[in-house]
Amino acid sequence: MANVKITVRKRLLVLLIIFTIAFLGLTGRLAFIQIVNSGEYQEKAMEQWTKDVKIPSKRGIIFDRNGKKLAISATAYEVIVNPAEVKDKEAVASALASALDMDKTAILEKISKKQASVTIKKKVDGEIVKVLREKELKGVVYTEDSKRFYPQRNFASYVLGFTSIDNLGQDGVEKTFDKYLNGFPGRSIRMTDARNQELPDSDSKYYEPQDGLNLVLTIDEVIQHFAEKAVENTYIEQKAKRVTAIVMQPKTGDILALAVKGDYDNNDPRKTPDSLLEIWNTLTPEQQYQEMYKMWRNPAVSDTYEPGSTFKIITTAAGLEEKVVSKEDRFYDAGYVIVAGKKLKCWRYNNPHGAQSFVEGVQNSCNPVFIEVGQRLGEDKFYKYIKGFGFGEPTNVQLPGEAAGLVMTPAKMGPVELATVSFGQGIAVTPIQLITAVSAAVNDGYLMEPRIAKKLVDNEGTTVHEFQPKTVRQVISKETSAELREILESVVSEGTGKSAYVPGYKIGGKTGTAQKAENGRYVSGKYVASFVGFAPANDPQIAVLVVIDEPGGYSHFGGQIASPVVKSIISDTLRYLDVKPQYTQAELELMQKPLVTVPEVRNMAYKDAIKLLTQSKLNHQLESGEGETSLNSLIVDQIPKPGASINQDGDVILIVKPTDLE
Amino acid sequence: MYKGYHTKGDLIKMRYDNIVDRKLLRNIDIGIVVTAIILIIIGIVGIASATQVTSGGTPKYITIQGVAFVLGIIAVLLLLLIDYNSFGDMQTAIYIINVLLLLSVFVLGKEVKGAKSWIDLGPINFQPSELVKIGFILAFAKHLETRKDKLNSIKNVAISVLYIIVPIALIQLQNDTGTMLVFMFISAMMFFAAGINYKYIIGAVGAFILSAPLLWFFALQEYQKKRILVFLNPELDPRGSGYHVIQSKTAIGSGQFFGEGLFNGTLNNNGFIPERHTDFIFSVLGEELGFVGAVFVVILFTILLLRCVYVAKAAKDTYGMLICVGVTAMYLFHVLENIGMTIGIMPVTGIPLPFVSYGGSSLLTNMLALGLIINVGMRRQVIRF
Repeated sequence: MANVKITVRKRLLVLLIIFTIAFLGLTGRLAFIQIVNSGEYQEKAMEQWTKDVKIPSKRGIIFDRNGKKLAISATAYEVIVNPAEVKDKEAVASALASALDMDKTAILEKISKKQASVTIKKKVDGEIVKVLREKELKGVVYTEDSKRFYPQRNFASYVLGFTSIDNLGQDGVEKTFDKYLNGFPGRSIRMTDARNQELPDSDSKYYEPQDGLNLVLTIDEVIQHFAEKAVENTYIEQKAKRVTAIVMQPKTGDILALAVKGDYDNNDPRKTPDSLLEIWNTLTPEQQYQEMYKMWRNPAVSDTYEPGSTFKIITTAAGLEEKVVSKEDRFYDAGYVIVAGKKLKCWRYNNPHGAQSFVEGVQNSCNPVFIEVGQRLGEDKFYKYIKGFGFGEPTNVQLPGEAAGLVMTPAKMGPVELATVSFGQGIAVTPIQLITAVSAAVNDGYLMEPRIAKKLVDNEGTTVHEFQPKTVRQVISKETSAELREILESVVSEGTGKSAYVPGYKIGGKTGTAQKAENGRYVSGKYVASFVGFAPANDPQIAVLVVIDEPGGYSHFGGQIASPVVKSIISDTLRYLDVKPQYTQAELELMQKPLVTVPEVRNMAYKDAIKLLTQSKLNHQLESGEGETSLNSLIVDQIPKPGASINQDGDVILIVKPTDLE
Repeated sequence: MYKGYHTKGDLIKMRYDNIVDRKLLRNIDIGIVVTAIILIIIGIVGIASATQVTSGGTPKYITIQGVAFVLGIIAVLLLLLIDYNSFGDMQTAIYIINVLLLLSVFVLGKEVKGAKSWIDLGPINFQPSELVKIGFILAFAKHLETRKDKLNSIKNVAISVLYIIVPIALIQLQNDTGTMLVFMFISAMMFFAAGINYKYIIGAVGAFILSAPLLWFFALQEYQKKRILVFLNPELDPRGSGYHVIQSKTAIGSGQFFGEGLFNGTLNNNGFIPERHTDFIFSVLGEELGFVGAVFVVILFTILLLRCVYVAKAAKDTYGMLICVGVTAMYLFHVLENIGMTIGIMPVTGIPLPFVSYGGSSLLTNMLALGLIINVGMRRQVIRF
């Protein structure tokens, strides 16, 4: 009995110790929560009963330089459900599903969550919300949101870009000027209870959102239209992969138009491209994303190409400025030159240009002439001008994703490289670089930074900030520039750029055709045809570059397919800008003559076409590109088109099917 | 001194004492009475705060709790008239009533939050398993006392296990895991105090560890497994079963040292604490009264249990001692589990805080249990003729 007593006492003591330790543990834990970590818990508590709602700011409007709206923000709504307040989940889900065109089970799942609020859909049109509001669904709220809207859909796609679902700029000027356009969102801070209902008499704070600023671009909507139209026609006719056109004002660097086709609808940038519609579902999400990025990539600033003969403008400018060549210098073309043991051919090597002046050499786009000029300059001087014109580094145009291009340094430039670069091979440039450089060459040598945005204005129309034109440097002298303009004008009036000729206007320009290189090797059958022109040649108001990537039609020569596009943009634009034509005596005389109708000569042999045109009392100019022509060559296109009326003895430009020399 | 009657062979045997005997009254443990009353008052104030009585909430809950308190006092006074050894005499009857009460739930019961342990008695609901806790302690204490010298024989251990397994199994069938754990804890503590050999204790612990994986894979329901997992990491399900713990900890933590003030708890007043007048009343107290208030409650329970253990030690016989140990174990488990779950160191089960949480049957049961302790304490002196 005594033993039992002792056992019991011992065991009660054990019990006592156990529960004392346990209670000390409770106290310790309480101290940890209420003293050591209390700050963290208090913060958590605050989070629970304060509700912080972001109020979106209104995104600024994007205008063209004349005040036309290119991008606006329309009012839209965000549909939100507070699950706790929903009585009949089924009914609400099916009402929302039918109105918003969504899956009912997905909605049902969302509104069954134990969450204060769930977003069902963003950017819902006001009309749909109006219908939903009439149904008086309990627990469904509509908050104002805005939706970006581009009135002309795929117009200046790559300039404007698009915005994300949260109204943040994703591409184009929407991205580069996002911080101005976006404004500052407001906030509303309320105190709520566990059912997410606002507490009466609680402090609530409201911070007004600040609307974004409006952006005025340098783009001129009308000129953009001309460019879009011309580019689109070419894109379709030439079955090209991509066609890009840039119109720049050389004096300011203003981009008046930047058109690219194929493009995308800015209102629906994530729509599957038509060409991929059939295979879209077979692609991995990764591949789908790649395709989207390909579509959004702006070739005017992000893609580089070999400029080919258009780069000869730079060689000419450098040669004239350094006085290593003058207009009347004599050259002889034997069809090729041998540089460091390598035979470099002229494009017309089987019918060499023979003896010619430098100006004729430029008109003929004769490679050996430029090789010689390049050699006279030497690597260092030539490189100085290449860099001086802005190649090899971004132009700082305010568009996303600008590439720097690729320029060989003098150290890496051997004699062969020096020779090829002088006629535009072995160098990679972006279209924006080329138009900026050519603009500088004809703008008394002043290199301007390309300008896409003119100014920021507020809702009252007051200018908040003006983006001034910026001169980067003077690359060549005023005199050299004037001389260059004269030479380039003769290229259009006499040489390889004839199809860009517009009566009454002095137009300068240069064609270019380059084979595409892929993986460090030229690919046969893939070309980039281009033409860069400017007008009026004596006082350039506009410079236009058209780049046709992988033309798939009858020709790949810049002179045949790119110069008519430039011609059409230039003539439309000059008339729109009210630049008065200055006719020459010959042009005036021609205009006195009676009108005749241009006959159809396409798909005829050259000799038959001449016969027909002579009968119609018309002259002709032959545009053979950089190809060989015989009397039997096929006429693939003509300017003007059949049925047009022109003065008797006027020129019809005949574009013949080129014969490849390689 | 010895009054009343006592008929051999009857199931009902009562021993009365003269309640006004000064010796008996002098032996009433005042510490126990005072701490219990303070706890009950704190409880009623806490319930008032949790149900927003001061700002237009219904007074229904504090009224019921108050009525239960008064009824409890009357019941305790009546209980004190009876010598606790009468319950020992009626061991068999009590055991049978226990089992019948537990069985009644299957016929008359209704389901509340997944557990079918309530009987609807019109205006009030009654939870038989609450009352059965007391009956169980009374019966099992007697069972152990009669076997105290031969308790460690395999036969007696087996019989004892069978004895407790019937009520425990019935409670488990009601899906009331929390209460079942209470019963197991009470039984284990009583076994321990009765002097069971350590080899059985080691054996039981070993068997539990070995069977834990089996229990996990075969016996536990999905919701029980989920509770344990969420207990280990509440963030697994912050909006579901982890919600209670996260909210509770947030409330207690934001109370800091001095609390936000009585009736001023932000989370409490705005409905962010679930089950705040019943199982999570301690979270309300923790938020409004801070560390000071929370520790005060813990200290009150410490005093109460210390007194209970003291009475157990002082009891004149093994039966009295075992009753005290059973009741102490019951309180201990409830307090540790309830406060533990509100501060995230115990899994969430529907176990109320004794004397403090809202609940009529619970308060009545706890007061009756306390009455038993007082009863044992006041009769601690062996009566000499």
